[in-house]
Amino acid sequence: MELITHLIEGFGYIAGIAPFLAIVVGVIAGIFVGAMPGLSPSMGVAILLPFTFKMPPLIGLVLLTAVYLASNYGGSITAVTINTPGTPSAVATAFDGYPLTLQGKAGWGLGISLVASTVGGMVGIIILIVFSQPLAAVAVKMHPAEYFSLALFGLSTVASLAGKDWAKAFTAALLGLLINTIGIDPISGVKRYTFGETSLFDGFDFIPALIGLFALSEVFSKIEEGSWKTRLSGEISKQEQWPTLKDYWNLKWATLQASLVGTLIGIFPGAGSAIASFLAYDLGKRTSKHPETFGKGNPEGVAAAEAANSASVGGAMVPLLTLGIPGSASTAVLIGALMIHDLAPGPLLFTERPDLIYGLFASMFVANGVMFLLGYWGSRLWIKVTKVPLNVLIPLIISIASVGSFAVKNSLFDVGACFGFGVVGWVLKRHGYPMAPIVLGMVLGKLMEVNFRRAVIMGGYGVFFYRPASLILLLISIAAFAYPLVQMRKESPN
Amino acid sequence: MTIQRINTFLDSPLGLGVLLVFLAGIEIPLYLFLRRKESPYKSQILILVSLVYLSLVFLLLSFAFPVKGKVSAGVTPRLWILGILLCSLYLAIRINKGKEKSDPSVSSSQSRMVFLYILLCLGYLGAIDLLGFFPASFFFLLIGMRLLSYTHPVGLIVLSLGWIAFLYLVFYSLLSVPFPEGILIPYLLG
Repeated sequence: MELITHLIEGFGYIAGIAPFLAIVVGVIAGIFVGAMPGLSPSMGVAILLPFTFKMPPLIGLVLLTAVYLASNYGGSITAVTINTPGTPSAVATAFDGYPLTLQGKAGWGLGISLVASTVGGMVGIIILIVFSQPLAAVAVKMHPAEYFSLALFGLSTVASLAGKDWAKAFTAALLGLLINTIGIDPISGVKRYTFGETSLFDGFDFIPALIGLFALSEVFSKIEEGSWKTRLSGEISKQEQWPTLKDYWNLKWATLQASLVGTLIGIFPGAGSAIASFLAYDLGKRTSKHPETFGKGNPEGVAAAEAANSASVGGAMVPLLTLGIPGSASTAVLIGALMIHDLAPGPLLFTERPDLIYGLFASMFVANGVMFLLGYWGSRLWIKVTKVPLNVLIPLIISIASVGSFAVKNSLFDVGACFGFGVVGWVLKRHGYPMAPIVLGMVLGKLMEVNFRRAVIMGGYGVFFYRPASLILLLISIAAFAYPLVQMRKESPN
Repeated sequence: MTIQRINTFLDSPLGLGVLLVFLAGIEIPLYLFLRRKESPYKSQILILVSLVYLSLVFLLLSFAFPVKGKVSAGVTPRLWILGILLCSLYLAIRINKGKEKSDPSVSSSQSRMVFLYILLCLGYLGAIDLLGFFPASFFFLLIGMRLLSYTHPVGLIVLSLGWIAFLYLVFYSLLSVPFPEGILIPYLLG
């Protein structure tokens, strides 16, 4: 009851023109940052951070949180329309969103991603408000062994993403993990596989790799198909189709389930929205009545990935606000924003500055609503991208891919890496190696390696089996790896 | 000691060059052999050989990492390499038994267009360094659209210039991305 009273007061704190303007500006900036490959949510929050120096703390925080929240949705727009995920967390959205566009149903992909994002965002905020303190206490007690097992569980999604080509999918995932070891070792500081090239000391940046593997490999495939005089959405002239309320309602369980998964994964510092969306997608596929249509334009796949992705924002705010631990790069920048205003994130913030905390919670609800309205209006514009002939769109995609790759570190090396990943991705894809496991390997690589080695340093190789939570997660991972393979074996013994 | 010296050499730009030449030395004769035998798995075998080669090179290099602390920096790469080698072995067996899907058939003109586009991308990368980002992007867009049979001359110019203006306004002016200016224009203009 006290919580509801606080929340109502929170809405009172943000009632006014200035907070509303901050939300609208933040949402617009967030959607743009998310949709532009190469501009990450954390970059968007960081770019707007200096503008908040002179603002009252609540308005500044509201603006930055709105950017963070909306950028997670923005990534799905380009993932659905041109198979170029604007953020790593939108990769899983592209699995079914882009096939929908190829079927001439871009409206479906965009509509579902918007509604799922909004619902996921709302669920994440509700969980943040109600359970933030007990959940944060559990998350910080996680041992590195449990983090490793959690990452392994994340990797188990490869088994269900793989389909019949599981050996190729595993090879791709392992390749992603191996690529991730290039650069200076995060624990010992040893240079690994850098071949004397200083640009490789930080390893391959994730964004150019992502753009190359998804966008450029697809561009090369389209050129090879010889279909460059057509449009992405096919030669349809009829009115664009959008899902009806009933269609959205039919996706309620997939969306809610993914929202819960997304929030929970978001709470674990370092796990991130990309892992959340992959895991939720995998779970959505396993629990769907039509798992065979996942990857071919199943709306449940879009809903699962997007709901989890947006819900993870609420999850990531849990350790930030309750313990002062950033769960992601964007929340790390938000901590900076709090500190600039002499605010120390932690349990005391709830008692000393309830106006700030509950005002922020209330603003996240409003930001979700604004995101829905702007997204609804914007989708009608974005969909026009799919009507552009491919012989115009292809050079534009390559151009934006190079801008996105360059903007990450202002380095031409990254543009070259993006092209390299594009060529490798095209070659591998045309021979049945899926791209998603490579990306998953790259996402999880650091989390897995660092926690694996920390765990071994702390408790030897047996530590993964001594700790009950780690053992349970390992067993679930093994089952998750094996189940799709056993199922497949049953269906086709050869 | 000898392994350490070999590894130090291989983990350098010259070493990388030698490794790539060596890979080409394996792949080209293998490709010619497979083509003569009309194998339906030419490309897949070449991919597997590349993966195994890459894994073995990375494995060899991992033994040169200095051991600091309880778990060396080479432990995890070796784990992933072991996995790649096992998966490659499994795939090789399936190819040998004819259980894998054969290579996709593509006409040579379609493949040629992809290779042309890859070359165009490489040229674009070089041109950014030489001419600067905006002029290079303008020429890339013009040639890129023309290559894909977009013939409308006004459309070509308007689209390219419009896109460059968008990139300039958003990324250069608003977000202050310091795009390369190239070496040629500053050199010519002093």
